[in-house]
Amino acid sequence: MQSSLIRFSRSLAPRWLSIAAGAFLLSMFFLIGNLYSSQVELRQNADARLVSIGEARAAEISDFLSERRQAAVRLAGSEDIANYFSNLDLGMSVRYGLFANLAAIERRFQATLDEEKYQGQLAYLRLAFFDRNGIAQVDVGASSAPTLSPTGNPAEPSIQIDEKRRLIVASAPVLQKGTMRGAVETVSSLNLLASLVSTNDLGQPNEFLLGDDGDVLLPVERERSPIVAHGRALPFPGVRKDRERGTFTRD
Amino acid sequence: MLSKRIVLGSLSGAMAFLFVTSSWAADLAEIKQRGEIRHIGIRYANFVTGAGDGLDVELMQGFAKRIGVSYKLVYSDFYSVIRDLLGKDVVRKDGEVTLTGDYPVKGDVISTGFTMLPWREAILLYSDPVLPSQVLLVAPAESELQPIEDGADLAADIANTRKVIGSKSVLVMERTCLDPTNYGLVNVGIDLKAYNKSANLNEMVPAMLNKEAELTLLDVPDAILDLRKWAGRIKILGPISGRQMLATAFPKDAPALRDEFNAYLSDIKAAGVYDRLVDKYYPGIRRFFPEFFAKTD
Repeated sequence: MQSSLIRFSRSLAPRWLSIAAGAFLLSMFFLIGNLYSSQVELRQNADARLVSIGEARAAEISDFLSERRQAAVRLAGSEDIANYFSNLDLGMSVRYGLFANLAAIERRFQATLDEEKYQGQLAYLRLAFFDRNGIAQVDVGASSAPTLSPTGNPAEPSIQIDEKRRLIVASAPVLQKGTMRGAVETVSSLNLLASLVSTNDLGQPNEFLLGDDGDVLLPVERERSPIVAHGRALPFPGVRKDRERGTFTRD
Repeated sequence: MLSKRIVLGSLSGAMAFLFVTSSWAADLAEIKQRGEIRHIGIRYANFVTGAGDGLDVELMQGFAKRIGVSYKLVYSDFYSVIRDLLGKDVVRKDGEVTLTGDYPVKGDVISTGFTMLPWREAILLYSDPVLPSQVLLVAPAESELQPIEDGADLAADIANTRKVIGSKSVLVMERTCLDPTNYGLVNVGIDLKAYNKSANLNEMVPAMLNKEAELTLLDVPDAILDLRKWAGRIKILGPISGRQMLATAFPKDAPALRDEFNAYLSDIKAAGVYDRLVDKYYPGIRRFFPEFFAKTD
């Protein structure tokens, strides 16, 4: 037994170099494999973090849009607008009666315009109440901020992003006993969302808010992004674009 | 004995002085000397709310500050407001206005959404207009009467509104801006019901809804508030009067006080204070009287 072991070790002696090289190669492969898997894991973690930040940002933007839509719904359902239609149904004219209701609506809108803020800036540029014929009965704020005709179902609240004029327009129908009798529109500046797009220490943007065709909505003065030329649509769900007018609509 | 007479004499002299100074309506110099202006107001709409504020309360507080005196609000009602200013009762008969009796003077100025009416102008000095107004005809929401359609001119609107009344009863309040004699509604076959449970114009709509009459008169400042308060329960049928002006009233012998008030009113209009007060207490009145407020904008 002992002699056979001695013979075996003697037979390996001339190949020790090959054996050592093999062992070295194996350990190198192991190390490289380990390093690669660590890099992959790091990259996956970084990607996951970016996705997570992006999702959080998209959620914030989505919340902002929901708030604007809810505000439009709230104004459309206000007591002052209900009173206006009650008195309209009683046959009162604007000159003798409805003027008081319209003034009450105007006062409510003005207070909303003056008081509601987003990160220290006025949340709205303009608030308007339209009758069934689309005629503005109450219109407060910057008249230069245009409202938009609803593109979807006017009986449902909606959000449109006017990319060219950099506006966010929320619309809500005024419903009474199941009948649509008018609409309220709120107009906000798209630039309100600028604070949500982060920059690095040099002020260069780290994040971009993109349209579904890759147009950069924020930061301002950026052209079509090559990064997402074949990327995904707008990062917030449920917003669609009116290609003819360059607007996005949220269902 | 002599000292007792002197004391009694001094006391009666002091009493007489106090009575005289408190019973005189005063002009600007006397008010400045007294150091206090007494504002006679009636709890009515948002002119004098009764809670220590109102359009006229804030106007007069600002005026008191301007002339450097303290401010005192004296409450009155539409039946006795002129008596409280002049110390005389007002009798209107056959188009004549006479002042009778002697009563304590309780204030220096009436400022309470006080309508400028010809018979009042015969016995009072009015300031420049403070606010426009108009008297409207109001019905319960369920009334079969329909509001008039906006006509080409106000005269046509008034005529159409009067036609609407027909045989319906109308609630009115004498000696106020809702006095039917001011608008030719007496002795023309209209069933007038004088509301005399109180002199508070704020009770006209509740009284009508309580079936004390089928219709009521209401002025525009009150209508602005009541259309919100009673939304869906009342409707305005149309105008009963032409445009009226509400102003601050002074005794005839207080022209300097009136002139100073006019200067004050002009200044606060220029400074934007007046507009802020109007928007605070009567939001919407600009829509009703755009021509009046166009001058002040």
